[in-house]
Amino acid sequence: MRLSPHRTPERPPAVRRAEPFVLAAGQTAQRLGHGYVGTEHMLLVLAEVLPGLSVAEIEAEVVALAEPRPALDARALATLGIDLEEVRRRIEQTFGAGALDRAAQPCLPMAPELKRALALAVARAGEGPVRAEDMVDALRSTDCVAARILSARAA
Amino acid sequence: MGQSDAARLATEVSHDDPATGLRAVASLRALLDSIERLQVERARALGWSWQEIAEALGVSKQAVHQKHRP
Repeated sequence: MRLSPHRTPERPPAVRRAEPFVLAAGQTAQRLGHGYVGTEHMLLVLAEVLPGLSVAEIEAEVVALAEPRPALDARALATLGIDLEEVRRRIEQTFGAGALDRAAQPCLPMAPELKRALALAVARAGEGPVRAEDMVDALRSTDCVAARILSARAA
Repeated sequence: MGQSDAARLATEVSHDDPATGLRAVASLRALLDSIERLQVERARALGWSWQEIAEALGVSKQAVHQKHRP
Protein backbone atom coordinates (compact mmCIF):
# COMPACT_ATOMS: atom_id res chain seq x y z
CA MET A 1 0.00 0.00 0.00
CA ARG A 2 1.19 3.49 -0.80
CA LEU A 3 0.35 6.15 1.72
CA SER A 4 -0.01 8.98 -0.69
CA PRO A 5 -0.27 9.27 -4.44
CA HIS A 6 3.06 11.08 -4.38
CA ARG A 7 6.42 9.52 -4.97
CA THR A 8 8.85 8.58 -2.23
CA PRO A 9 11.13 11.66 -2.37
CA GLU A 10 8.21 13.92 -1.45
CA ARG A 11 7.47 12.10 1.78
CA PRO A 12 8.99 13.57 4.92
CA PRO A 13 12.21 11.87 6.12
CA ALA A 14 10.50 10.84 9.38
CA VAL A 15 7.98 8.76 7.43
CA ARG A 16 10.74 6.96 5.55
CA ARG A 17 12.80 6.19 8.67
CA ALA A 18 9.77 4.68 10.40
CA GLU A 19 8.29 3.13 7.26
CA PRO A 20 7.42 -0.38 8.56
CA PHE A 21 5.41 1.13 11.42
CA VAL A 22 3.72 3.65 9.16
CA LEU A 23 2.72 0.99 6.63
CA ALA A 24 1.34 -1.28 9.35
CA ALA A 25 -0.60 1.62 10.88
CA GLY A 26 -2.04 2.41 7.44
CA GLN A 27 -3.16 -1.18 7.00
CA THR A 28 -4.78 -1.12 10.44
CA ALA A 29 -6.66 2.08 9.57
CA GLN A 30 -7.88 0.47 6.35
CA ARG A 31 -8.96 -2.69 8.11
CA LEU A 32 -11.04 -0.63 10.54
CA GLY A 33 -12.52 1.40 7.67
CA HIS A 34 -11.12 4.69 8.96
CA GLY A 35 -10.38 7.35 6.38
CA TYR A 36 -7.10 8.52 7.94
CA VAL A 37 -4.06 7.08 9.69
CA GLY A 38 -3.90 8.32 13.28
CA THR A 39 -1.86 7.77 16.43
CA GLU A 40 -4.49 5.28 17.61
CA HIS A 41 -3.73 3.02 14.62
CA MET A 42 -0.01 3.30 15.38
CA LEU A 43 -0.73 2.36 18.99
CA LEU A 44 -2.53 -0.78 17.84
CA VAL A 45 0.48 -1.77 15.74
CA LEU A 46 2.76 -1.25 18.75
CA ALA A 47 0.45 -3.24 21.02
CA GLU A 48 1.16 -6.29 18.88
CA VAL A 49 4.92 -6.11 19.46
CA LEU A 50 5.29 -4.53 22.91
CA PRO A 51 4.55 -6.37 26.15
CA GLY A 52 1.89 -5.03 28.51
CA LEU A 53 -0.44 -3.66 25.85
CA SER A 54 -3.56 -5.71 25.10
CA VAL A 55 -4.35 -5.60 21.39
CA ALA A 56 -7.98 -6.65 21.92
CA GLU A 57 -8.63 -4.02 24.61
CA ILE A 58 -6.97 -1.19 22.71
CA GLU A 59 -8.72 -2.17 19.48
CA ALA A 60 -12.08 -2.06 21.26
CA GLU A 61 -11.30 1.50 22.42
CA VAL A 62 -10.13 2.60 18.98
CA VAL A 63 -13.22 1.14 17.30
CA ALA A 64 -15.41 2.97 19.83
CA LEU A 65 -13.66 6.27 19.04
CA ALA A 66 -14.74 6.70 15.45
CA GLU A 67 -17.36 5.53 13.06
CA PRO A 68 -15.89 3.79 10.05
CA ARG A 69 -15.14 6.54 7.56
CA PRO A 70 -14.25 4.91 4.27
CA ALA A 71 -12.45 7.12 1.73
CA LEU A 72 -15.39 6.53 -0.61
CA ASP A 73 -18.50 7.27 1.45
CA ALA A 74 -21.62 6.03 -0.37
CA ARG A 75 -23.96 8.05 1.87
CA ALA A 76 -22.08 11.30 1.38
CA LEU A 77 -21.86 10.79 -2.39
CA ALA A 78 -25.59 10.02 -2.51
CA THR A 79 -26.29 13.54 -1.22
CA LEU A 80 -24.78 14.76 -4.52
CA GLY A 81 -26.87 12.31 -6.52
CA ILE A 82 -23.91 10.02 -7.14
CA ASP A 83 -24.68 6.32 -6.86
CA LEU A 84 -21.36 4.83 -5.73
CA GLU A 85 -22.49 1.28 -6.44
CA GLU A 86 -23.29 2.20 -10.03
CA VAL A 87 -19.94 4.00 -10.41
CA ARG A 88 -18.17 0.97 -8.94
CA ARG A 89 -20.01 -1.38 -11.30
CA ARG A 90 -19.02 0.64 -14.37
CA ILE A 91 -15.40 1.05 -13.28
CA GLU A 92 -15.11 -2.69 -12.65
CA GLN A 93 -16.42 -3.40 -16.18
CA THR A 94 -13.27 -1.76 -17.55
CA PHE A 95 -10.71 -2.29 -14.81
CA GLY A 96 -11.75 -5.57 -13.19
CA ALA A 97 -13.29 -6.63 -9.88
CA GLY A 98 -12.28 -4.57 -6.87
CA ALA A 99 -10.44 -2.00 -9.01
CA LEU A 100 -12.11 1.09 -7.58
CA ASP A 101 -11.57 0.10 -3.96
CA ARG A 102 -7.95 -0.83 -4.63
CA ALA A 103 -7.36 2.54 -6.30
CA ALA A 104 -9.06 4.39 -3.43
CA GLN A 105 -6.85 2.83 -0.78
CA PRO A 106 -3.66 4.82 -1.32
CA CYS A 107 -5.40 8.05 -0.40
CA LEU A 108 -5.44 7.70 3.40
CA PRO A 109 -4.08 10.93 4.84
CA MET A 110 -1.92 10.93 7.96
CA ALA A 111 -3.22 12.79 11.03
CA PRO A 112 -1.01 15.77 12.01
CA GLU A 113 -0.52 14.29 15.50
CA LEU A 114 0.95 11.13 13.94
CA LYS A 115 3.33 13.22 11.84
CA ARG A 116 4.53 15.01 14.99
CA ALA A 117 4.92 11.71 16.87
CA LEU A 118 6.91 10.23 13.97
CA ALA A 119 9.31 13.18 13.97
CA LEU A 120 9.75 12.74 17.72
CA ALA A 121 10.34 8.98 17.41
CA VAL A 122 12.98 9.55 14.75
CA ALA A 123 14.69 12.14 16.99
CA ARG A 124 14.66 9.64 19.88
CA ALA A 125 16.07 6.87 17.72
CA GLY A 126 19.11 8.98 16.84
CA GLU A 127 21.15 7.37 14.07
CA GLY A 128 19.74 3.86 14.48
CA PRO A 129 16.50 2.39 13.19
CA VAL A 130 13.27 3.53 14.82
CA ARG A 131 12.23 0.90 17.37
CA ALA A 132 8.78 0.16 18.79
CA GLU A 133 9.98 1.60 22.13
CA ASP A 134 10.93 4.90 20.46
CA MET A 135 7.54 5.04 18.81
CA VAL A 136 5.50 4.36 21.95
CA ASP A 137 7.56 6.94 23.90
CA ALA A 138 6.87 9.44 21.13
CA LEU A 139 3.13 8.71 21.28
CA ARG A 140 3.15 9.24 25.06
CA SER A 141 4.88 12.61 24.63
CA THR A 142 2.48 13.85 21.95
CA ASP A 143 -0.88 15.44 22.68
CA CYS A 144 -2.92 12.78 20.89
CA VAL A 145 -5.58 10.08 21.10
CA ALA A 146 -2.98 7.34 21.64
CA ALA A 147 -1.47 9.22 24.61
CA ARG A 148 -4.92 9.51 26.19
CA ILE A 149 -5.54 5.78 25.74
CA LEU A 150 -2.12 5.00 27.22
CA SER A 151 -2.49 7.30 30.23
CA ALA A 152 -6.00 5.99 30.95
CA ARG A 153 -4.60 2.47 31.04
CA ALA A 154 -1.67 3.45 33.23
CA ALA A 155 -3.99 5.02 35.80
CA MET B 1 -27.68 -0.59 -5.40
CA GLY B 2 -30.30 0.89 -7.71
CA GLN B 3 -31.30 4.50 -8.22
CA SER B 4 -33.95 4.26 -5.52
CA ASP B 5 -31.38 2.99 -3.01
CA ALA B 6 -29.14 5.98 -3.73
CA ALA B 7 -32.12 8.29 -3.33
CA ARG B 8 -33.04 6.61 -0.06
CA LEU B 9 -29.47 6.96 1.26
CA ALA B 10 -29.50 10.63 0.29
CA THR B 11 -32.64 11.32 2.26
CA GLU B 12 -31.26 9.56 5.32
CA VAL B 13 -28.57 12.19 5.82
CA SER B 14 -29.11 15.87 6.43
CA HIS B 15 -28.35 17.99 3.36
CA ASP B 16 -27.85 21.30 5.13
CA ASP B 17 -25.33 19.97 7.65
CA PRO B 18 -21.85 21.27 6.69
CA ALA B 19 -20.33 18.02 7.99
CA THR B 20 -22.32 16.11 5.39
CA GLY B 21 -21.43 18.54 2.62
CA LEU B 22 -17.72 18.45 3.47
CA ARG B 23 -17.78 14.67 3.72
CA ALA B 24 -19.35 14.58 0.25
CA VAL B 25 -16.55 16.81 -1.10
CA ALA B 26 -13.89 14.58 0.44
CA SER B 27 -15.51 11.45 -0.99
CA LEU B 28 -15.89 13.04 -4.39
CA ARG B 29 -12.21 14.00 -4.38
CA ALA B 30 -11.23 10.44 -3.37
CA LEU B 31 -13.46 9.08 -6.13
CA LEU B 32 -11.93 11.44 -8.70
CA ASP B 33 -8.36 10.57 -7.63
CA SER B 34 -9.12 6.86 -7.78
CA ILE B 35 -10.62 6.97 -11.25
CA GLU B 36 -7.80 9.21 -12.51
CA ARG B 37 -5.21 6.75 -11.18
CA LEU B 38 -6.94 3.81 -12.88
CA GLN B 39 -7.32 5.63 -16.20
CA VAL B 40 -3.72 6.89 -16.25
CA GLU B 41 -2.34 3.44 -15.39
CA ARG B 42 -4.42 1.87 -18.16
CA ALA B 43 -3.42 4.50 -20.71
CA ARG B 44 0.26 3.93 -19.86
CA ALA B 45 -0.22 0.16 -20.18
CA LEU B 46 -1.79 0.75 -23.61
CA GLY B 47 1.27 2.75 -24.68
CA TRP B 48 0.09 6.34 -24.25
CA SER B 49 2.86 8.89 -23.67
CA TRP B 50 2.81 11.19 -20.65
CA GLN B 51 2.29 14.07 -23.08
CA GLU B 52 -0.82 12.45 -24.56
CA ILE B 53 -2.22 11.69 -21.11
CA ALA B 54 -1.56 15.25 -19.95
CA GLU B 55 -3.35 16.70 -22.98
CA ALA B 56 -6.36 14.43 -22.45
CA LEU B 57 -6.53 15.43 -18.77
CA GLY B 58 -6.05 19.11 -19.59
CA VAL B 59 -3.03 19.51 -17.31
CA SER B 60 0.69 19.99 -17.89
CA LYS B 61 2.95 17.06 -18.63
CA GLN B 62 4.94 17.96 -15.50
CA ALA B 63 1.82 17.77 -13.33
CA VAL B 64 0.72 14.37 -14.58
CA HIS B 65 4.28 13.06 -14.41
CA GLN B 66 4.75 14.20 -10.83
CA LYS B 67 1.43 12.76 -9.71
CA HIS B 68 1.47 9.42 -11.49
CA ARG B 69 4.97 8.35 -12.45
CA PRO B 70 5.57 5.10 -10.54
